[in-house]
Amino acid sequence: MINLERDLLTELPAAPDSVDSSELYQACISGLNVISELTGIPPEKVVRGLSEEAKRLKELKKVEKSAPDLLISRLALLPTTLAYSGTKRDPSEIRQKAFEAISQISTARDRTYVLR
Amino acid sequence: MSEEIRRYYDQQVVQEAGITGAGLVWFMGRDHLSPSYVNRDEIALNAGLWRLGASERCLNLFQAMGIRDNELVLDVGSGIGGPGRDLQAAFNSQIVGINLSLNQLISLRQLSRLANPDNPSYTSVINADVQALPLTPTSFDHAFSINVFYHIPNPDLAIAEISRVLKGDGRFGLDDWFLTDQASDRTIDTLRLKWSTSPQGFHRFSQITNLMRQHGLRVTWTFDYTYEAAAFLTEERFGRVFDQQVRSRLIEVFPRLYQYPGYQPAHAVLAADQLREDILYMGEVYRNGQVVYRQLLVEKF
Repeated sequence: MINLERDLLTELPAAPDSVDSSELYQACISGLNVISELTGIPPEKVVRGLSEEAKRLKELKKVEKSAPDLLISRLALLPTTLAYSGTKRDPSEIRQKAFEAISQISTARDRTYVLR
Repeated sequence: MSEEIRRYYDQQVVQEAGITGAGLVWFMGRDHLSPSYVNRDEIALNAGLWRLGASERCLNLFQAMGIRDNELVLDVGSGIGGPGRDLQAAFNSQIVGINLSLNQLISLRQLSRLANPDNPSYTSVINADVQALPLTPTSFDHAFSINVFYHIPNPDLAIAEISRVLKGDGRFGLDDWFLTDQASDRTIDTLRLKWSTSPQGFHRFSQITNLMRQHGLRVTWTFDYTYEAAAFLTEERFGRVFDQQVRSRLIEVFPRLYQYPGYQPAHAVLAADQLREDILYMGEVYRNGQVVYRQLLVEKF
């Protein structure tokens, strides 16, 4: 079991008691699994890479990027990096999976933040 | 630049041809998917000329290889064929491209026909894996590979195969980024994630040269682009040009390239900025000595 909450979602503000934030958590887990499935990189290494990215942005550029934003950024670029890398995978499958995951995270995030 | 060539690189033409296999990277280097590392102001500070910078680097390798007219050359990991088209224009070579992605090969054919309808580059293209080439032994005068090897899971197999298909005095030109012995596991994992290589992607320079020797290939020439790449890929140079000349274009084309339910303009911004960050990270690893960008010329002995 990946400790995504500890490694990645620590920056996500806790939702008030009345709001169930598990939808956003589940959407992030789905997005993480999509990245892992499409790249073949184990989920824990994807988490480590994204955490590294967050640290780097904070230290070098003083930019705070939330976990959903980190995941959406990576997912949005995935059809480009996979196409560029010459994968055998069907580009339409890549696009469908990546963008479905983005939509889920975006929707869940907007709903969570609106409710908060 | 002639009108035909200008049209060839025009986005309208690309949309007509339905080019796939490059994604947003097309809007930076066109059909050259490898980066421009030329740091001279006239190229580095003009994103419209970054393709020319990548082309200049490839031609540097082709010249060192001493390719003559009409020789049969294997393009290992041809992608969408930018380097091969430059090679054919310069040396009139017969080029066979092999590539894992069928979509990239379809784009390669379309672009080659657009660039030169009467004599399209690439004699043939083969959808195959360099780790198991469906080619007869000693059949190619030369082979080259531009910015591909870091994607290959098993370079041992790939180098053995390239050596097998080269003729007795054949030459292999390799252009790529390599890990140094200082590269940390964390850096390697980050590079693999950022550039979607296989989980075994990115290789140490020392490992590659050892494998060359093991498979009967002798390194006769190297050219190092690390310093130039490190100087170009900074906030002040690449970052500034990207922001002024590239970023808005990427944000504009993103929803046209990728249409999906729930699209928000913020997604295009995140994708463009992620690409910027990933490229600037290249500069960091060149500057901190964990990665080098080199060209090698090897001969079969």
